[in-house]
Amino acid sequence: MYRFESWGEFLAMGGHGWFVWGAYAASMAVFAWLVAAPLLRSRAILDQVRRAAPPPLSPTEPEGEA
Amino acid sequence: MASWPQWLHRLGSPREFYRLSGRALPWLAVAAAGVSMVGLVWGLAFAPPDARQGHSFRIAYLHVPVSFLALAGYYLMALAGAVGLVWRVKLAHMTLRAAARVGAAFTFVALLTGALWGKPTWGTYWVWDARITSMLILFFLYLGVIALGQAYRGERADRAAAVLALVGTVNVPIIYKSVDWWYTLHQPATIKLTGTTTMHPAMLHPLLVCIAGFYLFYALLLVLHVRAEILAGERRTRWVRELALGERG
Repeated sequence: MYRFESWGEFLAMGGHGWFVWGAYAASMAVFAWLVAAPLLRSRAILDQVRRAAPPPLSPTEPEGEA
Repeated sequence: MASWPQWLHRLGSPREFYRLSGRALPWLAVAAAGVSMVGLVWGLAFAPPDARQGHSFRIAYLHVPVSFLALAGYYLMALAGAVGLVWRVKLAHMTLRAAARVGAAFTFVALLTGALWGKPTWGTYWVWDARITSMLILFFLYLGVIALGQAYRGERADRAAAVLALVGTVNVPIIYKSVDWWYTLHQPATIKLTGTTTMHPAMLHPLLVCIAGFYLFYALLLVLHVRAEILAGERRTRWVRELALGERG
């Protein structure tokens, strides 16, 4: 059963809104960072490897030049 | 059909782990997000408020699972360190590095949510209580493992980090027992694997869902961080180059 009469009451958390929502917001920020950090790192590594790799040998798909 | 040891050996190869975990990742992400969201919304909006603490009790749905995982994750990290030291498995050392990062962040969240719960409940954000102090030590242990892993290069760093992780395990039972050994401000565990759980089912059920959800979320984070460690460690190998070139366009 839903425990609150209104959205305002839900946000107020019986006067403890700052603590409850502060805890949830700060945690979500850390969790978002925990998900994003390894994805960004992986992408950066793959980009770096790609730049360092020799150009493809295949002549069938020329890049830019006619 | 590969036999057990063969299968284990293949999974121990970073390349194979990267390939297989890539397939499991979307399912794990959906399961982790789904179960945690159900648990947290249930706890925030539908569970009854605590008779004494009121709505500030709802921080428990975050604080308890995250603290569980901060501790369980330390064992996992130490186990990875032991496997890496004994059998010299590269993937084990990569797992240790990943577990150290995720564990440090979870311990930080446990301390932070604990402080925000402590203020309305005990009237203070921080107290040098046995449980809280030993959790702070856990945080520093995680940071120490991260720092050692970065201080040296190669195998020396792996071994040093693994040794510190193993030595630090003495702290974990102290954290578990701290609320029983020293009678302090932090309340004793309400969920017990053996014995009776002193919590109303209407509050316990969403908490159990949250714990399951955060176990899944921890697994997801660990896999993501191990995959990044694999790419970092294997960046000069042929398969990573092929992977990088294959991802173009």
